[in-house]
Amino acid sequence: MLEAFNFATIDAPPSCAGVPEEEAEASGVSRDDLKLLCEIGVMALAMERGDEALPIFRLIDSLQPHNAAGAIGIAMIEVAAGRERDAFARLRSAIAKCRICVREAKAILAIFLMGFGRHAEARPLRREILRGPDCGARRLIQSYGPV
Amino acid sequence: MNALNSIGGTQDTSAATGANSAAGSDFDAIFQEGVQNTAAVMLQMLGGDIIQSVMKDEQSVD
Repeated sequence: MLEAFNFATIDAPPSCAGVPEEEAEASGVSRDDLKLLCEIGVMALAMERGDEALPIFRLIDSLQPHNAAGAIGIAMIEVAAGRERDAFARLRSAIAKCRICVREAKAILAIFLMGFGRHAEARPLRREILRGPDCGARRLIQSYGPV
Repeated sequence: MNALNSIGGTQDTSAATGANSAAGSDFDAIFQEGVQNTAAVMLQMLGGDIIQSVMKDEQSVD
């Protein structure tokens, strides 16, 4: 299962010991801590242990409401639990209000919609992603075939 | 659920999931497998971007 991940981010050099404390968020969770938590959450999702990562994605969602990453993780857990309607609503809300990770949220929503036979709703999302810049979301949609 | 299954590279399970199939009780298991396979592919392609996103500045837009 490990090959399913892009571990490039894990190879990043560790923070210097002298990093100013201002990097720590008011919540007491630094960006580096949040990144590590997100890595654990993504790994848990891929290992079918998403339920255990739910608090992580809720934390990301609360600390970074401008980032769709938290909503993406929660939505994937909801779909795995058979609550796809909740997941669709969550992803749509995140797409509307977030500024970061929006392309990824759109790609995931499009694929889940297609998986549940809602191709007409997925088509505009797919077209929009395919018109956008080259990124993981576009490559994912491209791998899924013609619109 | 065929779309969910196909992206994960699993075999077409339409026969087993059909309304007339005697194996209909296996639907939940097949459904879960399809969801899991789909999630694995999505995380393989998007996981790095999702992880990196938490490091981005609040004012950034992508």
